[in-house]
Amino acid sequence: MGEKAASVAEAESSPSADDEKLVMAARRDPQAFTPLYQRYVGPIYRYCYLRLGDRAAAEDATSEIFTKALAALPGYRAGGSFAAWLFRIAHNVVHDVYRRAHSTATLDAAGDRPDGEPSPLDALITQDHMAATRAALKALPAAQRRAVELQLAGWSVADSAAALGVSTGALKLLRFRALRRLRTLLAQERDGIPSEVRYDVE
Amino acid sequence: MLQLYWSSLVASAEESPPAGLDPEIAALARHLTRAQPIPEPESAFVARLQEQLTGQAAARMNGRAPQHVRPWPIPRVARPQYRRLPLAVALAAALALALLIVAVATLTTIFGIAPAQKVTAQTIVRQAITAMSSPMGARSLAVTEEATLWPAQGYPNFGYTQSDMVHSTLTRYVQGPNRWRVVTTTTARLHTTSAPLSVLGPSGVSVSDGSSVLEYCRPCQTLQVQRYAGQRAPGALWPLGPSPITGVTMPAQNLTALLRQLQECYQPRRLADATVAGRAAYVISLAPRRCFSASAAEENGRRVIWVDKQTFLVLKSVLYSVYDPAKIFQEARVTRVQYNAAVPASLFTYAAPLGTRILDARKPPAGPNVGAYGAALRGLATRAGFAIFVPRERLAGLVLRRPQLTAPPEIRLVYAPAGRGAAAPASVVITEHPATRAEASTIPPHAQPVLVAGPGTTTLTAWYWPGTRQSANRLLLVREGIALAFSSHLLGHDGLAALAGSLGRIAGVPATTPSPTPGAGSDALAALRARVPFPIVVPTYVPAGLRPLAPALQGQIVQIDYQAPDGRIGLSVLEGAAGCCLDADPRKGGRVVRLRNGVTAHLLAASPSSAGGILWWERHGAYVAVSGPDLTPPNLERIAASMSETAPLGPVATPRPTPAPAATFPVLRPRYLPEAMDVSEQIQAAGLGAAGVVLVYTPRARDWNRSYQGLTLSEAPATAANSRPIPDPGATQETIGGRRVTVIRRTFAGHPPACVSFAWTQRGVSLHLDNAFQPGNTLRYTCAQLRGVVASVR
Repeated sequence: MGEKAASVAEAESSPSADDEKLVMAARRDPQAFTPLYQRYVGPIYRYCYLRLGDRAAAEDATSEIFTKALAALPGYRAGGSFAAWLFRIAHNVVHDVYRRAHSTATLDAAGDRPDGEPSPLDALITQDHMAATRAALKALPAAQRRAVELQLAGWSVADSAAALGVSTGALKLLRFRALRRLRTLLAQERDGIPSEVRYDVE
Repeated sequence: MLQLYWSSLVASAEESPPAGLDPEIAALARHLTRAQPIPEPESAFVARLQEQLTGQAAARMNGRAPQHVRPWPIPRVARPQYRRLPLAVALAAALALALLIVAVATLTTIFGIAPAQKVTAQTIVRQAITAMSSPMGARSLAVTEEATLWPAQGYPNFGYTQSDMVHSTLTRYVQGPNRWRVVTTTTARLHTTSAPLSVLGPSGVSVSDGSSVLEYCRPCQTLQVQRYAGQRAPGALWPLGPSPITGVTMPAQNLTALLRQLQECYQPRRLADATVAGRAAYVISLAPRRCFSASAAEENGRRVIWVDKQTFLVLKSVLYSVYDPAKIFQEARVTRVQYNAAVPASLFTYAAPLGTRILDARKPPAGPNVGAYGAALRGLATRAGFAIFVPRERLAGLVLRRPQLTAPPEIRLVYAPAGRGAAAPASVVITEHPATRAEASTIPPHAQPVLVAGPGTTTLTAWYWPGTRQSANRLLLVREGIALAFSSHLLGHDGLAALAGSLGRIAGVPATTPSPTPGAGSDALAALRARVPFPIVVPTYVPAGLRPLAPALQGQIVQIDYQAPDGRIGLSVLEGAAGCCLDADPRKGGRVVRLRNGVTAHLLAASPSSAGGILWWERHGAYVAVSGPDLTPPNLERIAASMSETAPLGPVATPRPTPAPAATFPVLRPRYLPEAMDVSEQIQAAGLGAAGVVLVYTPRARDWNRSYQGLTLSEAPATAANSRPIPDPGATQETIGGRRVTVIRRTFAGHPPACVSFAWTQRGVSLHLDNAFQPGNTLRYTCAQLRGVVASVR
């Protein structure tokens, strides 16, 4: 793991300074937005996919997020975190998609991932796993849940921390606590104690 | 440490956890990462979006951008130099553009080419519903479908084995706008006697030649003919038939209702595209989220449909078992499809097999079908000195030969194949003579009684006994003093009974005995029959001991109850205009049952008030439902098959009061009600031999134009079969008054979520509190009011 972990850790060094330069450049010359787009399109798409559950919806949301970001770029305040600013736009767009679709759950559709048709048995196992995981995730406090979702979406520690407005240490603590809580919830689920279903969409 | 490990899992899911990390936490991180595989965005999408953003930025900078910001240059694309064109040139250019658009649209329509675009699951479902009646761009179709149903996965309580199955093959030829031929072949491998022999519909043929629709039912040997009018939605290409989505035959006018239900009740999601029958298809997962049906629970499972990308025709449909989601309950698949095929005109004509009963609804027969022998029969009746009866029904391929009068006076009617000459053997023979006491001696001990329609509103008992290799099937009937003996090698029980029930008397000869005088119940029935716009049927067979109560008209529904000797209602018959009731809900199709009289009925699963379920059907513009607390499905089918539109009700019983509850458990009652109500308590079967109690609360302030139903509280021992809740994905748990309560909410279009039912267990009693539906899909009581009721139950 050594070399890979090192590279991961390296990749998690703060990108804020780089982002700041790119944002300033993009405000002067929109062509400079391209590097920012290329840097964040993956994480934003993965976050949208995780929350919305299918490619088409994730692509739609990603398009809307970057369109809004581009339009709002002149109003971006220097000195902040571009990742956090972009995440807030993403969060609002995903929320709007929920509201439009009258959806009541997060991560709901991830079980129907477009990776080919599973066998009924596989589908059942997957559905059971997913249902339990979804229920447990929904039962987490919002901050813990977002910390896990950004991790699953492949966001770096630094970007996640910036997006959530916490320090990297606090983010790691959030994720650790989230896992501990999830472990308890999933164990209860296995033991037949259903977690309360909440209909919050944040 | 956790963060490093978790991040490394993104690169490799098989990464080993570091030594110092809690193994359970590490396993959970691994599980989450594996359980939530997130794909990377497609490179084409990333590039397209980048291009789009570049364009947007350029447009913004060119137009409304602040002056101090330099525009985003458009790479490799020269900005056009605009200049004013002469008017004629501009008009010519506009005309050419319009022509180009029209040409493209026309070609698209002609060749059924759908423009490539990203479509959402909701759009695909909407289009698929539309395509059920008219696949896009298709003027003709040739389609073969294979459908298999494993009844054990949908009806676990009917005694089916895991290997039982019903297989159907459907071949459809459709030529727009109004011709089709649908051939259905159904084979069943079933090991239970209470099961229907044809679950997906009987084998048969449906043909439309554009002016008439012919429906041939092979098991019942009947051909129904009706005028072609409104069998399909306007402009629809697709004929009626088992729907690939619902699996039941669905009137075209219900398409809108089904579409609404799919949109309101299901959460469609796209899965990976696939190919079916050589056609590229969208794959849509339809998971029921709302509108969970208790009466058609087998329909509540997850569905997956495969939709043709070009025409939106449903190419495949899989319905998983609601009881075991790993197993398939029903699968239908198109194995061959050809759009805009040249369909030979000969396929849109149909000649029924010899002897098939023809039920022609286009012009109901006014009198006996005497062919060319009307005058001869009247002459024979005069010479014989007694009435002559001739069937009104026509028999496919058979003609009536010249009637004969033999000695001692006996009329002999012979039906033989047309065009085969005098040497052709008789297919059906009817002999008629004045009845004597000796007729009874000709009836063998194994003969069975058959009720057939008599004159006016009466029914008559006939006797049927099957033939052997040497002897024909026989049916004996005495009508108006005349003994009629039917014999045929071709027609069986149903055929001969139908023939005997269609007799018409040759005019000019007075009846030898009067018709029976209808009783008081029949008077009320006759008055209702004159009042309502649909035919009212009554059973000519009911289980022993049941006596009818006077029929009642409630709103637009006619109710005829039959009371058992102990005062309970043993049988209820509800009737209304077609589309009034369960028949308006495609999900209430239940199990399709072919009755002995040829009618297709639907059997819904059992409920506490109807042990054998509810059997309903539509016929002649009327909806009829029969049910009873002790009636099994075979009972119901026998009662349903005996229905007559003309039979009298007979003497009615004086209603006896419902017996007081005598449950074997303490009946719990609420101390709080949302409004002033009357209550009636009824004993109901609750399964496993247990008795339950249903408390029906009816508001005292009744508005007869709206629902006057109030709350219903059903109670049963917690161990009884019916007390087990039906799994509902929309159910949530609440704690009310210290009790763990399962609450089912529904969201109806235009209304906030509402509480439909509450279920809980209290002191060993399973309780279900149901809210009352009112017109417009509103519920009478709020969730808070119902919580108050639940909390007050003692």
